[in-house]
Amino acid sequence: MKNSINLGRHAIRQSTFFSKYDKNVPAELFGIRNETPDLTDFPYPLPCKKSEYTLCAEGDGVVWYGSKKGLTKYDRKAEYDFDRIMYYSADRDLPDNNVTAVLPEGRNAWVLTDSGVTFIEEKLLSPTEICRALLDETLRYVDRHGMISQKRLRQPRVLESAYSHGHSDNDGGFTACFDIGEIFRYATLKREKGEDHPETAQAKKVATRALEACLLLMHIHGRGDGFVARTYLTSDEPVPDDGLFFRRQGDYAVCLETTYSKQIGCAGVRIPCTAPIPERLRHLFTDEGYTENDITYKADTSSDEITIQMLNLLCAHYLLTADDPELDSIVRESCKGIMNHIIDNKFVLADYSGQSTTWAKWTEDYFKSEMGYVDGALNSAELLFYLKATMAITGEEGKWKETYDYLVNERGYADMAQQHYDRLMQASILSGMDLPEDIMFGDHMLACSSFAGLCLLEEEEPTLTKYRNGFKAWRTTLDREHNPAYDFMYLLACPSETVDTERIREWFYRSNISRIASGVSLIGRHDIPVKTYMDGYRQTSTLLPPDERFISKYDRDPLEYKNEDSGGLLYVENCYVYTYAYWIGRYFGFIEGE
Amino acid sequence: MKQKIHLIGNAHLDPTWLWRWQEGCGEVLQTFRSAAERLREYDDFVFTCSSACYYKWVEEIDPGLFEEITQLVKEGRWVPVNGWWIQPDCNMPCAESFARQALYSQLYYYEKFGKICRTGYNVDSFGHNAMMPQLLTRGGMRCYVMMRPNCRENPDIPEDLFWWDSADGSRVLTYRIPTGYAENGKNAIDRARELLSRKAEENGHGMMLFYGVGNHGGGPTKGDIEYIKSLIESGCEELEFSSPDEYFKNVCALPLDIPSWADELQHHASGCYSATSLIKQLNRKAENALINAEKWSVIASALKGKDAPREVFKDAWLKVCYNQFHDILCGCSIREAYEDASEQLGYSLTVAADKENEALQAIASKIDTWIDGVSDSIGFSERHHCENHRFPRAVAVFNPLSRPVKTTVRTYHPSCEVTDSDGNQVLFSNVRSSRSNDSHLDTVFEAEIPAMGYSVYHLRFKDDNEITMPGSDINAGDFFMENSAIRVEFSPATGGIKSVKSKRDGREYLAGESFIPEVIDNSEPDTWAHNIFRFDRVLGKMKAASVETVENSGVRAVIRVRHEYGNSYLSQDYILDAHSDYIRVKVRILWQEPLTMLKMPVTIPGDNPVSTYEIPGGFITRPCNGEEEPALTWADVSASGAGVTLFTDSKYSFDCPGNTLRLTMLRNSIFADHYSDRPAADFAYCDEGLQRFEYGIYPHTGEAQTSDAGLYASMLNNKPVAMPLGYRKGTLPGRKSFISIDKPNIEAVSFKKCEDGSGDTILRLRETSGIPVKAAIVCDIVNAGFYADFNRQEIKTFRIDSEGYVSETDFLEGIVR
Repeated sequence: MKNSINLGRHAIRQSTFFSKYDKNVPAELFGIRNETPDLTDFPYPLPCKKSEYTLCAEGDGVVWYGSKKGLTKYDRKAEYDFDRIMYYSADRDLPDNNVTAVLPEGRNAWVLTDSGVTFIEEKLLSPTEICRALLDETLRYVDRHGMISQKRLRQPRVLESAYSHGHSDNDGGFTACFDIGEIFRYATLKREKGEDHPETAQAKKVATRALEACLLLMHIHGRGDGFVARTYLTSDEPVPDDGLFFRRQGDYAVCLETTYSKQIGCAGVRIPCTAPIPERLRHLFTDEGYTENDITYKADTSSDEITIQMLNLLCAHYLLTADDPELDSIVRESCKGIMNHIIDNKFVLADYSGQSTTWAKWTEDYFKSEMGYVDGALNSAELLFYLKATMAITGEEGKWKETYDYLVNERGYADMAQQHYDRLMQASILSGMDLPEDIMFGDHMLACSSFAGLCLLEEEEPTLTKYRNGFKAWRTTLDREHNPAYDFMYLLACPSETVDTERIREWFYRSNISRIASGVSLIGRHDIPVKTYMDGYRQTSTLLPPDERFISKYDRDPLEYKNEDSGGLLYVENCYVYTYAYWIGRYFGFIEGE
Repeated sequence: MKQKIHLIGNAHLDPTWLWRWQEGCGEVLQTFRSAAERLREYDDFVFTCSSACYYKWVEEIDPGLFEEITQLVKEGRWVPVNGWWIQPDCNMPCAESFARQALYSQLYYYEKFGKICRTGYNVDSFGHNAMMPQLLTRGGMRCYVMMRPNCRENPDIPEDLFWWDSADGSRVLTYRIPTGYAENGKNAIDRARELLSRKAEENGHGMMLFYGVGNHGGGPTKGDIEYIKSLIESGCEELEFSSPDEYFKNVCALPLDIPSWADELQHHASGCYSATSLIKQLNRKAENALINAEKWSVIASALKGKDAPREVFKDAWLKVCYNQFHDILCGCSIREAYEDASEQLGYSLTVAADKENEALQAIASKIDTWIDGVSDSIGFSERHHCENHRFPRAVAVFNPLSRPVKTTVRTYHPSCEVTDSDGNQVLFSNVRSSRSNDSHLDTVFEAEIPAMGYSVYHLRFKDDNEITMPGSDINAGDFFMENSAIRVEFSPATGGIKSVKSKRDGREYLAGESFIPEVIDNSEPDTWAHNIFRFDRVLGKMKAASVETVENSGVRAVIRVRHEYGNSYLSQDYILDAHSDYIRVKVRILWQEPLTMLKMPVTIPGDNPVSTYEIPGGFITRPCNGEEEPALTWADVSASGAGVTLFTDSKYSFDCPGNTLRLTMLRNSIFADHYSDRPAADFAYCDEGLQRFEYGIYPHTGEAQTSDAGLYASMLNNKPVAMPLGYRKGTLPGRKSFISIDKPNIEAVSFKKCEDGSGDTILRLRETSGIPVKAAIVCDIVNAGFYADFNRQEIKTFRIDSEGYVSETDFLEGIVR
């Protein structure tokens, strides 16, 4: 198959930290006299200056070079270019960067630094095994009432120190991303191993719980109008001063006092919340001993949330809920609810006052505004995608098709959907900024979701061509992320296109098997050029493999020149970044089966 | 509300054309004085003018006026545009030249006015290559104004305002002037105003009206300004004194629905790709000579621990930049202008030669060539460096390219043995020299030289040892020559090539006889060939006078073919080197046929031919429709999985009707014949007389851009330099590379010192095959080793500090943004 790739088992790197006095640490490490390296005419770029390397040690086919700025591994016979030189740095791979001794052990090594000892090893794992490890970590440490976003830690790198609470602005969207990955895992395993296989059953269970969590956000507010909450907190979770929160109290929900709610004058506002939550979803909090009155939900939901949620509903309907009529019915009704809400509110998501939320607007007026002009190309595609998805999920046309046709044929939404790059450039020229400074990297996932959905669901050629053009308008900025998930979605939408499969291989083979945030020492690397833009924003000139760059979700610029993972040093992120890409690739055959 | 018509007061200035540069300079001074006066007289009037060169002239000759202009620029009333030295031809300069146009000009603007130009502006240039969006944005410009070709010449290009994209994703907002760049007088302004008002309403965005006396300068007249003011005062509120910068800001602030274009902007003056071979050859030579000299200077200075020269290179480059002015490089100025150009480019070439020699001597002086006992020599035969019978003489061969090359190298003495620095025998031959004294023999040997590095070879004048030469694969006889890669057969009757066949798989690359030179009627077109896009009226073919095998040695075969036509002749040495898969052709033409062109055709077999051409910094595929096309060092026609590339050291013009690619060798028009009726005179012709150049023939499989076409073209244009060495104890080995790039489609374009005097080094790289790639670059001489991602045909500029830390910048070297 064109654009397909075979991913077998591959050595994945892992660091285990020890104290200097740990009995597992070999005593030879402290007595070893490493040689001083001669790096004259060394043929590859090195992460540190040659003069900074103070010691070297040769293992089985690999040479370790130590410096005050971290550790470098040179694999003389690496099969792939991307495996030849590897950099290990604090805080992810080493407790600190001052390497004082290295004791090779086969292809692995014990490394002594100022503050401890690290055992660096290669683990031969297949991508499926990596998915399994990542999923296990996520389910154990990240899940919060079924929502899968990230968790804050009390102590760096100590998963057991995870707080039980802690929300994200985009809990719904991130959980939906996670769920999509798990739905495709379930569908793939079902096809390959059968419905009754324990792994298949486990996948279904995981996907179903995440789907329920997503659906719950469409009902948790009790508004009964198709609104979607960003997230919710239970009564024992602190409410941060960050956005718009409503606490349910009987038949009303009261807007809590936050800086933002005071700023917009809605603190204390009460809105009805009498619509019942489907029993099938309630259990997510009632099982934990909470009732509706323990719920505080977050409003002011953005279009980002709606887009990923819609894609999730579409995937769930086709691949997960076919033999679960109760859940499928909730999927359909929830989808209709959202769509009705958007249509009834003249293409906005309406918040407590009936006015639109800050970032969920799909109106022509918004697209004409200074703020919404650039968003127009994406948001027009989003709205068309919602309508197409709703038709597919409900099996109904009626109002959905009527609205879709109106937007496409009379309001030019499909044409506008092609103009992303044009509008982005226009804004960039006007602002005098360089292009990357004007890019919202989180939009990439939204564009991929909307355009992949539209291209798969639209059958009429002229309109389909517009959507394909619309997707292609994102390629200039998407291309440099080399995110396999984006590549696969692009190929689904535009099958005649090609992507760089070797970069996909690098991405899967050079990912970590944990999503614990800890940061890397990127700043100051000698082998990575830095690009500084007009307003001081900095990028790397090359995309580093995932295991040597900061950890984030799909919402950050992976070229950003920074050390810190997006949540700082005290986080564990969820696994969807890997599992979403992998299982979509597997399901559609872009990644060959193991 | 009506859409705005932005009135752009300007003075189009051709600093050389139907006059020499001194007159052009005077015209600039006069125009600038006049514009400053108008600005003093009319508070709302705005003046726009391009080209840093003009400002520099004024600064040097009339500092008072320059001071006044500086103040007006700061007030926003005098608007410099186009961050380039002049308005160059936009087809023939190489990418590095465009980089220098931007670098020196934008730094000048920044230094004098505190800001750089954001708008590119080449309103008179005769066509614009497809890489321009990238070349402009890398030089700090994201908007562009052009005019040629107009909508009649190419109706497919979007009208007026459009997004223009190049292959790497770079984009500029482009305004194609629909009227003229120099409307003046009430009637002309009215006509333009009416047309533009209509278009503005139809298009839904503002338009620009360019007014002011132009070509020989002048600028907006009092009459024009007052007439425009009267229009505004009488209620034409859509009219506004403005500048291109203001216009682009204005249109970007409003919703904009305009087309995009991802191709080149051609054709306007197709005859200009070939007219006046002299200037083309000088331009190519000067570009390459300076690029190479800078590379070696950086390396030599790093070895010596001293800073490399910058100012002298800048001066030399500015002469190149100036002579890329469209009316100069396009060969359409008066004959006398080419005397000036020759002198100016002669300066650039001299600087390059001096600096390259200085650098290579410095590097060579560090190479260890010592042989024990050599200092004991006493007799002539042991002291004479070239005729030393006892010790071999060492020759260092320097390769400026960033890829290793295998090629033949000539030294000016015969030898009886050649060995490499490891003592291995090397294939060589003694061949007839160009001189007519001594032995009449030179040595040609097969050299392998690492990327941007050197190899030392030892040539023995006389040797007592038995010689064991490595095997040669060369064979030649009557009308054929071959090696292990290809066999070439000539026709004695026509002097053409009957067959080029692969020895590996038997593939025939030609469809019938090729390389029979065709003489084309050029009597109708003017020098520019206005409104003529195909040159296809064949007057006849040159007649073969002789075909002879003049060399059949171990290292190469040479077949000399002489053609004649009228009072002219063409002599070509077809050279096939051992182990080579291409043919070099050394050409000597004496041309005395007025109003003709000479084309060299090659026809390939296969269906659905595609023609591909090198353009500045990249390549482009074009339809095989017979239109005359501009190209840099190579052009190719391929079909059914194979093709033939022609590459040259000095030509820029080709056409490709169907399966036939034709190299335009010369075009003998009257100098500066501009739509004229040619009143009787003793005309001077722009390609009359003797010229020498080289081209190459490369049969290949696959696509041109992924083949070795680019490499061979680069090798022809940047030949290794052989430098005899003395006997010294040195620290450098007998073979060394100063750069390593792990991907064949990444090429080092330029290696120079940063213009801010920091001592930092600039390394510019480009992707050559249209395939995105991640590359590893190691350049120990400046302590650097780094990775970089490249998009399709992307040019990236890296700045390396003294510690080897690297930042990615652009043509402006991170000095200004």
